[in-house]
Amino acid sequence: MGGALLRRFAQGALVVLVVVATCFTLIRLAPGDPFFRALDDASVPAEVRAEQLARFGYDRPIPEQFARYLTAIIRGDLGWSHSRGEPVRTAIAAALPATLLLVAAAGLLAFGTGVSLGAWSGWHAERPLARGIDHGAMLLLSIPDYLWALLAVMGPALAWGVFPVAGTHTEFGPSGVLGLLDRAHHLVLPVLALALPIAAVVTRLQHAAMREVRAAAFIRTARANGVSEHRIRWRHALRNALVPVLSYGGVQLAAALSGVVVIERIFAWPGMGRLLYDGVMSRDYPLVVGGVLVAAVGTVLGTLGADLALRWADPRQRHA
Amino acid sequence: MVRLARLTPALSLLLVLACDAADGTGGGTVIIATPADAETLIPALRTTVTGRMVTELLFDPLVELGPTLNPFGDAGFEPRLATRWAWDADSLALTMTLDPAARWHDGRPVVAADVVAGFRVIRDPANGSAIRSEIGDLDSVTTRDPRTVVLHFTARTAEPFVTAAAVVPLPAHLVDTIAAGALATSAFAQRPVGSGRYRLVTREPKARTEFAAVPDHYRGRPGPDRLALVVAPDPATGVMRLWAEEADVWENLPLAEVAAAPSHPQVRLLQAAGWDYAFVAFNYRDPSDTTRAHPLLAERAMRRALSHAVDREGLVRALFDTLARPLLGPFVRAQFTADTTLTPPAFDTITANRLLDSLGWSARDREGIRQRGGRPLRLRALVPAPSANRVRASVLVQAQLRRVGVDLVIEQVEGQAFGAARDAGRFDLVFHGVGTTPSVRGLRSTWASRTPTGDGRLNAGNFRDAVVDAALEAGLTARDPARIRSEIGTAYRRVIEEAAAIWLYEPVQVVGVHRRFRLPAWRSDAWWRTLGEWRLDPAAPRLARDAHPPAS
Amino acid sequence: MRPPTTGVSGAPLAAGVLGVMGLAALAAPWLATHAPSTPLDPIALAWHPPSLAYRLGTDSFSRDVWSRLLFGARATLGIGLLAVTVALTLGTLVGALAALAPRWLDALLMRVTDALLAIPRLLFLLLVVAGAGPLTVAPLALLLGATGWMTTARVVRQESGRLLATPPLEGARALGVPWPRLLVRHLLPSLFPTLAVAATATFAAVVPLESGLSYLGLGVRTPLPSWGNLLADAGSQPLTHWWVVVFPTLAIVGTVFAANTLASALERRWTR
Repeated sequence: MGGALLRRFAQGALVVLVVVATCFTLIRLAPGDPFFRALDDASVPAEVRAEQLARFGYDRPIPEQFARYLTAIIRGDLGWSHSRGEPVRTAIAAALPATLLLVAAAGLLAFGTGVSLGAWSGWHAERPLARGIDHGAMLLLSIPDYLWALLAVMGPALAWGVFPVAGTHTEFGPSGVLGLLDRAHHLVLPVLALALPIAAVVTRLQHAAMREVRAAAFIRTARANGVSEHRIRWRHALRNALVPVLSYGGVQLAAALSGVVVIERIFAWPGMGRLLYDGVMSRDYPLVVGGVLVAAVGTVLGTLGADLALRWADPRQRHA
Repeated sequence: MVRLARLTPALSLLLVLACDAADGTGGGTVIIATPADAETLIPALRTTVTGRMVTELLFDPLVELGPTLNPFGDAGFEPRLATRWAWDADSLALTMTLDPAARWHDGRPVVAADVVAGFRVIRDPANGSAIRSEIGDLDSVTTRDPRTVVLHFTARTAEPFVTAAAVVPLPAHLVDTIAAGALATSAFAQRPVGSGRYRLVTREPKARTEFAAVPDHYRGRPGPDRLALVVAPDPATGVMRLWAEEADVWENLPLAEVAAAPSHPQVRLLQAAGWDYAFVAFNYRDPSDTTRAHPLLAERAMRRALSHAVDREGLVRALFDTLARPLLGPFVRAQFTADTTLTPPAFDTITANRLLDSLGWSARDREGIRQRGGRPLRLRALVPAPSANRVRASVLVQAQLRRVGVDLVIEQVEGQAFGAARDAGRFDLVFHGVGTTPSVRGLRSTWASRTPTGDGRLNAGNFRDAVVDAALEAGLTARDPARIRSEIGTAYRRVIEEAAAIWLYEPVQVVGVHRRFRLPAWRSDAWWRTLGEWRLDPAAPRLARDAHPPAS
Repeated sequence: MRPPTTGVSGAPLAAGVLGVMGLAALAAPWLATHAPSTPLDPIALAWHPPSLAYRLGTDSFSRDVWSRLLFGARATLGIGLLAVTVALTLGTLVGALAALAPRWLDALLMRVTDALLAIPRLLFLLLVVAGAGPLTVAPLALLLGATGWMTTARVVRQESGRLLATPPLEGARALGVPWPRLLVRHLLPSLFPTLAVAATATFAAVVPLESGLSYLGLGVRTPLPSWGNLLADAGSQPLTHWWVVVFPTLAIVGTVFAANTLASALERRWTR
């Protein structure tokens, strides 16, 4: 077990390295440079731009720049963000918690409702309500998350005034407990927009898995042995049925990060998605690479976590 | 025009306020929502309008243009950090005396060395300041004593005080220690110490910037206690924040939003003179070979014909209803030098047809497009896709030109690609948009002949005229206001006579402000300068964010 | 994303919906009432609600929404099909080769696939669009396909592994049939059901991605219509100008729903 885990860690590290190197190269190949807005005025002589490029090392060959970048990362220096006027580390430290909050809340909501709804409907798959849930989930997952975000803004926020339009909290709002409530109020719509498609997928997965498991031989044996129905359902069936759901957890995580970009833009949520989008648009090399590094590390860790959960749930996988 | 008819009740709500804002209470919190963040907090490094707003809130200049918007001489300028000034005998050195009560936000007094520091930072090429070209007529800045500073000009110009206003003092005790070129990455750039009526509280780049009033400011305590600049990346949801009372100010409301205003009674719409204008510039050079003159548009008769063919008033009415005015020439009506007696070519299709016939384009093909020697009269127009107004205008112009037998091919191009194509001259016509300021020195960039020294930078069509160059040169170096006006007027008249462009529209600025504020007279060129005079209406209900203990 | 097996029937209906969409896209020049990108009358006809003359109304530039929807179907569905073709080809090649290859190559290919799966797709697309500038339709479709083959590869690898263990193929391998022939003659035909499922599922994933990109302004550029940028045209008054939002939404959701249903039904019928 320990050896396999170590191997997975090493593979994960390799993945992160490849991702960062790809991103590093791609953005430097893009036309424009980090100063394309700041130094565009005609009165700025060409030497200034050249000097600024040299100061930050953007005129060196790309492999050399990458080597310097790696050594800087070891020291904990992620570079300077030109578009934001602050160190990249500060920018990411500010943006990461916002996105983590969003993704974690959405993940909990999605998996929580998905697993419960899916398990119930899978167990009682013949009932019309169960079938309705499955069809409904199919419909819901066909709606892209940015559409949800748009609908959410149009409806509950603007038309009915029930929820705020954008932001993480009310400007100059209350602090303390009321402040927490205010932040929770602002969290509702973005989380719903992000969670709904994922919840739909999880529901369907769980429904299918549960439906298969309930007909399995070991369930019949347990029932014959007199184990209570409740225990059968929750202890035996669900644990097995969780396997396919968890195995798709990692994939869903990467997909969720894609959705976060658009949702953060629509709700003006100051998270990693917006950071990366703005960074790419401004050709802010250090910011984009630093952000991708953090996102890649997070994704790899998340996939690893999903794998570990999978191993816990399914002992058969332990020696895979 | 069902939709536009609904605008009239909305427009009837537009109030031009001139009421005295002194009756009203101080305090309150103003949230300004903008589509983009300020790119810097240091005046020398600013490049955008939002950057100008933020840096002017934090830093006071030596002098500031007053409500008359007269940029010539000192008649239109109000004292700020400089209370008195005098020219010396040869009118090349301006001695200014600083206000003894002026202090930096850290408590240190503002001294003459700070003006020198501000000047040095702009001048240093390593900082890449975009303001450098604005102080080109300033040779050096010296100090006589801690309260007296002397600005040495290289030559007499028409707008010496515009230059003086551009040299914003920076705290020498903090800035002098920063190495050349390292200003943008310094700690000072992240947490600047300014001299303005508001000081910086927090800044989250691309998200929000918070300001607090400076209560013992030498100009007096500003009205609102707190300001917040909030960035709304998606413009649609940004305006929604205004309707939802999550923001108090939104500049530049689009036309569609104006119609929605009546259903949001807590927001008041203000209409003010705009500072942008749009026109169709003719390319004087051949797009395929810029060393040669344009085969068609170099002839004045052709340009005049095209100008006569466009119904500008109808176009403006169709696109904007009453929220824009037809452009008269290369200026907006709000400018001090504006001459409303000037008339561009009138809408006259008979003259247009006659001119085109006389140029040899009398034959027509089956679709009605004019031909000469077997070649159709076809012109390519470059239009920036992000500008919805200009895209719509291009469609209308295309239709109108078609009626006189000219085939206009529209090329909608994305932002950066548009700028590149425009600067390279790859077009016959370009739908150009210019943002002006009260200063007229910008005319050198837009209408003077292109020179290696930087004139004519924004002269997209490569317009060249000796009369205009001479008039601009004379006008921008004279000192007598009457002389300046007449020379600039000559330049305007000549550009219009030469039909260098089809003058389209100047939009009116429509701003949405929350009703609970009583506003002083609105300054459309820089409305934030009067933020300090905003007062809360005692009769209007306050919002939760206004209940803030006054800064001590 | 691989849809699971459930009792979702209605495959014929789903196939029918997709077929109708495809036919409409093909027949766009004849079905459309106006040119898709030509403003009809920016003065009088901007934001015209649905009426007899303009069946689905007009947008802010007074372009006919019905015509734009039809031509947008061409763009969106066309990109979807091309992307699916690319993704399927790449994925099948990688997955089948991995199954036929020696252990180390198999492990390497699968690890690389997993690594690429870990990259958030939208981010990668953002980077490429930022790097290469605005993409036209064909390169965009190729790019979408090139970033979407990984799930197909995984599924094909799994299924190929299972097939190779069955007697007919095991025997062929034992007889020393060379691997290209094994791949083309024996493996691919048996993979057909899996591929059909993978194709529809990939299609269901590509359409929202393309429309999302177009909504952000990074996909199909205006004035060329695509269902995504039709939504973006709605601007800041989506409630009053509901017709610009509702119809592209119905189109996108309908297509994706139909594709998902079809994939689910196919899987249920063929792989069990």
